[in-house]
Amino acid sequence: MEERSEEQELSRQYLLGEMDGGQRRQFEERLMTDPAAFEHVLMVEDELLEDYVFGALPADGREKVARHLLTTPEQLRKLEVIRAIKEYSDRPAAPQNRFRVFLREHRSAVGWAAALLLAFAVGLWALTRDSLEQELARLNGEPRVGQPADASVYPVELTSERFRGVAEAEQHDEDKVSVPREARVVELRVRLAADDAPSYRVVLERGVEQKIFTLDNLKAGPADAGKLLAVRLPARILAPGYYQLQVSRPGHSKEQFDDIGAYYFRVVK
Amino acid sequence: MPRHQTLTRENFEALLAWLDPDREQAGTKYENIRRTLIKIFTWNGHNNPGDGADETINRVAGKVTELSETYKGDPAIYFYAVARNVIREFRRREANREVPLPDKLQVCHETPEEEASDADRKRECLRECLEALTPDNRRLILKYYELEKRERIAARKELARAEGLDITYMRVKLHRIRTALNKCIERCLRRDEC
Repeated sequence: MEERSEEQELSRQYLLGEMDGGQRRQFEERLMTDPAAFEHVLMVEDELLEDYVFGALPADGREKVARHLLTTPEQLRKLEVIRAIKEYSDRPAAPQNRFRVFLREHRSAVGWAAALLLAFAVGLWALTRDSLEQELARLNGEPRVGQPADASVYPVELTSERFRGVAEAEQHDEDKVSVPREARVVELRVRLAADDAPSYRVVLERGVEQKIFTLDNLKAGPADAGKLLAVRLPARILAPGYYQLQVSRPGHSKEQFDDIGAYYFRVVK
Repeated sequence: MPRHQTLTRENFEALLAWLDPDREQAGTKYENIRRTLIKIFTWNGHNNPGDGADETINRVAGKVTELSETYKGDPAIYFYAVARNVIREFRRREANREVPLPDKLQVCHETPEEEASDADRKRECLRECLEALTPDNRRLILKYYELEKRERIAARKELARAEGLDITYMRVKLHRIRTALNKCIERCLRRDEC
C-alpha cells in the first residue's frame, strides 16, 4: 500500500471523482483561496498522469484517470509530453567508443589536462562575467530621460502577459525581436503603473530557468499614465531564442521582492 | 442561456479595484482567480474551461458595482459560487443536447507521413526544451522518469535521498520543471506551425 499524506489523498480523491458533492464544494472553495493547496493539486494531477503512463495504476484507477483527467486538449498534451519524456529517458546509452577507451587508459594525464582546462575556463568565465556585470552597471547607471536618441541603441517595447487570459495569450505570439546588426545595445522598455516604488529589480532569463543577469536598483522615468522602465543590455548577449524579463519591486522586508510582471519576447535573426 | 457581454475596460478596472486597492496586487489576485477557475472547470468536465472562466468573470464584473457596496468576504468565494452556476448550466445543456448522427461518417486522420512528421517535431521540441533546462534540472527529471513503474513511491524516496533533497521539495521541484517543459514545448510547437 502506498504511503500518502492526507493532503495527497484528498487531492487524489478530488481529481478521480471520488468525493461527494459537499466535500467537493468545500475542497474547491479552498482551492480558490489557498494558492498552496491549488499548486498541490496541480502536482498530484501531474503525478497521476505519470502513474497512468508508467502503468502504475490499478485498472479502476486507469479508468478514472481517463474519464476525469484526459478530457481537455491541455491534459492530453500533458500526457503526450510525459510519454515523450519517458521515451527519451528510456533510450539506450551511446555505445562505448575509442575515445572512451583512450580516456580510460591515459587517466592521469587526461586528469591533469582537464584540471588545467577547467582552471582556464573558470578564469575566462569570471573575467567575462565581471565584464558583463560591469557593462550592465555602466549601461544602466545613468538616467536617460531627455537624452538624444543613439543610433546604436535599439529600443524594444515589451508587453506583459500578466493581464491576458490564457486564451488570449495563446492567440498572441510573444513579442518578436529582430536586433539590427549595427545595434550595440538593446533597450528593453516596460510601461509600469504609477506607484511609489523607488526602484525596481529585473531578472532576464533565457529559455527555461537559465538566468542571464539580475539588476537591482533600477530607476523608472515618467511616462504617459505611469512610468517607463528601460533596461539596457549588450546586443551580443541576445542569441536567438525565448526570453523572459521578470520585473519586481522591493517588498516589505529587505530580501523580499513583489512581482510586477513577466515580459516574454523572442529574439529572431 | 445567452452569453453575457464581453468584459469592458471599465468593468475590468472596477473589478480590479474591488479585488484590491493596489492595482498590482489586484492583478495578481485576478490572475490567480482566473487560473484556478480554468482548472476547476477542467476538473468538472467542462469542454472549454477558458470560456467557462471568462463567462464567470464577465458575470461577476457585471455586478461589481453592487458587490463592492454589499459583499462581505473573500471575492474568490463569490467567483466560485458563480462558477458553480456556470458549471450546472453547462451540464444541463450537455444533458439536453441532441447531436444528430451524420448521414455518412467521415473519419479524418493524418497520413502516416504526417503522423511521423508530427511526432518528429514533438521529439525535436522536447529535445530542445530539455537542453534549455539547467543540467541539474535535466538530470533530475530524466532520472525520475527512469524509475521503475512498480514501487514508485519507494523509488521516489530513494531518488530524493540520493539527490540530497527532502521528498516534498523534490516533488515541488519536479512539478515546476514539468510545468516549464510543457510551456516550452507548447511555444516550440506553435513556433514551428508559423
